[in-house]
Amino acid sequence: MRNVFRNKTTLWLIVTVLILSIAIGVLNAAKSEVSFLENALEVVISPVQKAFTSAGHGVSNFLGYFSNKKALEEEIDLLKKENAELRQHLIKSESAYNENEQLRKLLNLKSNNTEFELEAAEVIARNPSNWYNSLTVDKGAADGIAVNQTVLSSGNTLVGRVSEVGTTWSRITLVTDPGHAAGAQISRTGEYGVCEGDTAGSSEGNCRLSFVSKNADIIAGDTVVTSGLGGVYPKGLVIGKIQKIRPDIQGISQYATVKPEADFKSLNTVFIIQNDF
Amino acid sequence: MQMKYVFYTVSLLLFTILQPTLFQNITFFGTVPNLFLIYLVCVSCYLTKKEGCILGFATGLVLDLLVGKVIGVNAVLMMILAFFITSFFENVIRNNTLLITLLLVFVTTFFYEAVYYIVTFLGDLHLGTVIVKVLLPESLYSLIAAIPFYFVIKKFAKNFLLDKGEGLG
Repeated sequence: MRNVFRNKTTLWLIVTVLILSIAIGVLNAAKSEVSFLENALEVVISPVQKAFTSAGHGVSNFLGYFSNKKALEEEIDLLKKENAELRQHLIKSESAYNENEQLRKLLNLKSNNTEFELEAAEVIARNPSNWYNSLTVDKGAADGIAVNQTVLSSGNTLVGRVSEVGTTWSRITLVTDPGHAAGAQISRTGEYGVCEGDTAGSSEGNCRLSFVSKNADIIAGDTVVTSGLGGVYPKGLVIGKIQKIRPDIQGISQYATVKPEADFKSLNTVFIIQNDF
Repeated sequence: MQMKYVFYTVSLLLFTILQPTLFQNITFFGTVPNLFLIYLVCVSCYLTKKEGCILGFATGLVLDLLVGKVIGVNAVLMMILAFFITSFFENVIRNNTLLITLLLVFVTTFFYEAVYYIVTFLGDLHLGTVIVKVLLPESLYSLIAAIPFYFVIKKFAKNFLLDKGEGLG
């Protein structure tokens, strides 16, 4: 290995490119716009990626059918039962909603219900590294997509936010990504916290609810929703459920592991909120 | 244009498509192998130091563009890695075997991803957890995934990568 650094030209080449790359890296980290090179690469390869992703889903669905047949049958039975219960709840809710509307009219109160304008987008690729959790979808600036728009799954649960927008594609940073943070709230108690991705939990598909008050009443199974604080996400979107609760290292707060409601691995279509809320 | 440059370009394009799509459905303990890294290790024994550095930089740059975060980190790390692997094959071991390639893939994947993690997540160090949950499964997965790579690249090397008189494989 002594000869490795004898060639000074190679050594200088490494040093020069190292300095250049760090400079490029620093400049890239500071700006949020997509570079020309990145956009061009994604525009060219995204149609092919779309075909390969569809093929991948097809193969995994096909194999999954045989390996999970019994589990699927049990799930169908469970869903049928749940469906019947939900129908009952729906009838009661509709009647309560109508009553609520009538009372609001009587009291002259403005409705705080926000209807979202959604743009459906198909997932065409996932982040290639084990460190980040993001998706690439087939809608971009040409379809009216913009940075920081909220992304939902088909079950109206939070997926993440649009972090990069190209001409015909967009990148979505998932709630489990280490660079992601959202203002969150425990729906049962109203306690506030910050739901953020971390490298230790992201390989298991979990995120972390941090900065929760030391004396806050939280238990495993509690639902975590967006608090609306921070201005990126609307209030009340379901993020996930609490799994484990631990005290913080400093002992002044506690944190919890959150299992997101959206199943990111089988996510084929997402919905991007287009309107202001 | 020489056939080997066509081979490098086509290979990179193929991994650009496969890594974020098909391979995301084939995980091992929640991890996916880094095809770019496996490719670089497998092909480096057929390259000169200069070729290795250029291919390493290009491979890393493509990966940086796909990851969509800070551009340059993978490019520089892969260039340095290619430099050391090509030097290793030039100065230490001239006969590449399957066992050496697999060991190199395991070791380089482990250290490459560890360095990438430390460089990228300076303020978020959970190295113990990351070793168990990411580095070891990914390195093991890469080792297994490298077996077909070794044979395919060796076959292509005979036809495209080696000039007459060369014979590392």
